[in-house]
Amino acid sequence: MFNRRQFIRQSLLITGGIIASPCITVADDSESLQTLTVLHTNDVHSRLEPFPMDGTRNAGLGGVVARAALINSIREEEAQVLLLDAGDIFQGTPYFNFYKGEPEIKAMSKMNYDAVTMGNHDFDAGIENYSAQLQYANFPVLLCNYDFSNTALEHRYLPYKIFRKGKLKVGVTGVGIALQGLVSETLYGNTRYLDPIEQLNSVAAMLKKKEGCDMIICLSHLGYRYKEQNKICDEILAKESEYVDLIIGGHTHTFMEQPVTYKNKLGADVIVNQVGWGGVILGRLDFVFGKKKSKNLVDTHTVVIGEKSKE
Amino acid sequence: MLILKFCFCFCPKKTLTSNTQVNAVLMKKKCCISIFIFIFIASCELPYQPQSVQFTKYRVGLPHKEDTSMRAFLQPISDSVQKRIQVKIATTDVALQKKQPEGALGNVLADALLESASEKLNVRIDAAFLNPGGIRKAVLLRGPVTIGDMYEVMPFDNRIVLQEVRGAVLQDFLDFTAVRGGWPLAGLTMKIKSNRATNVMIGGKALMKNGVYRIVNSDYIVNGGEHCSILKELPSTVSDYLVRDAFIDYFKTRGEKGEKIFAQSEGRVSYVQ
Repeated sequence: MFNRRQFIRQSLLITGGIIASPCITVADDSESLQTLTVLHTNDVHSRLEPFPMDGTRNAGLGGVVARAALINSIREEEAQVLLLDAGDIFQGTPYFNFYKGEPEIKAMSKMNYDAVTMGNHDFDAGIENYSAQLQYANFPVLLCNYDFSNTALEHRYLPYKIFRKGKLKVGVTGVGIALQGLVSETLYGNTRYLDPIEQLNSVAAMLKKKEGCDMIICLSHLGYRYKEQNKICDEILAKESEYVDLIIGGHTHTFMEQPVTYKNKLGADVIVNQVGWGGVILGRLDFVFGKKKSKNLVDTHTVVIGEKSKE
Repeated sequence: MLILKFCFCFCPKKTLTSNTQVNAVLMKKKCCISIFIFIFIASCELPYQPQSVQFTKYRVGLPHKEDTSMRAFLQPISDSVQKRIQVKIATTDVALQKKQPEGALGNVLADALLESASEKLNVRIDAAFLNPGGIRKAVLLRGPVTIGDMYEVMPFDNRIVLQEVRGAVLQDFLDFTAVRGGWPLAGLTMKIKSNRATNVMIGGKALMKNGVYRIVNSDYIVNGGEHCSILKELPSTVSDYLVRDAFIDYFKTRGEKGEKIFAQSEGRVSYVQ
């Protein structure tokens, strides 16, 4: 039997571990606080060159040469970066008519995009063409609400992907818009559109509960919001979603003044952002992460938004 | 605190678990400690969550920096594209605006579609239509028109589709365009009254329900684009002729003759009470 002295010694040893151990996670901020820089574009529409200098609002802005320089300069300062695009990479300039998207995909690969989702115009030269251009992509196409069975994309897309950034596990997925009436059937072929809310929530629950992701991002080409109140959009998706932290939107070409926070179905914050079109704006969101206070998945945590001061 | 930290040095995380197990067996009566330890270990596994976010919007190209590797990649492609699109094909006499229910740009483009399609397909065509959403430039400025302008006006590689339809079907289609505020068209005139097409005159005569009319549209519309289901199931001839090429050919023909392009709103589509 252990005597009292041994017990105290044991307890002390363990208690020491208990008190000291959090010191490495709590007292040292660099260990407990994790950061993630999300860079994003949407609806670039084959704008490989800047907008022409014709005196209009976007004249001289955009272009992959300037975007690559900007992204590289951010990567020099930040270690944990995710570069994402919310679709409609194709269509809008003669580059697409002449080259069918090859230079767009190659340029994005050179910039090391981490993931994209598909927009309706990405079908414009046919689903077979999109699939063929993906041979030049070093990033995945993420979609959870299109069934691509018996299409050229069947084995060329992923429903989601998990990225490890430092100590963080970030799950990324994507949702696409209803194609009927928007894209010729001859172009999307056997692609089946599935309910984005159901599909997203099912993937997000799996990423959160089974994979233990610390953050879930959804790339969306549904559009920010519409006059028709019941038409599915990012605003509705955000409110009806579960476990999703961030929705990077597209399709409506909305130049959002700043990211907007909604309460999701579980009462937690979900942020929606979209940066216009044509590659005029690169969006940047610098997230700071802390340890959760409880293991309860259904928490109602809030995320504080602020504008980064200009350097 | 110093001692405790010292203790930790000899008790790294890996051995903590085994210590805990040993301890739990030996100290059955002291279960409260075990619970405390359990809570602690559980807390170690707590996931991260976003707490705050700062946003930035960069206007790409300001200040203008160039990535040399990307420039090297893009330049040859860019040179080839520029060579093809900088070709001047015609001159406009006025600025051509896109407007609804009717505008100068829509009129000239619909005329171009009707004329070029008739020549290319070698048939008489009664009417030609364009969806305003497919015209992607709001104004064609007065002066030279290039191939590049035509790509901006019509970036889509839509094909021309020829159909023979009954007057009643054409009336349905015209009603469909009336609901959407009036579409660019050539070969007919109409008025919009309470979301319906009225006073339809085609080839100088009133539209007959039982007449048969040859019309052209883009394949986008015939295939159900803009939620148009009226023309979808009907027999059609899909040509290889692109809508944009029809525009280019029309402008080129006039450019070569030295004629300036002129168009205006002329009452093809108008609202009546």
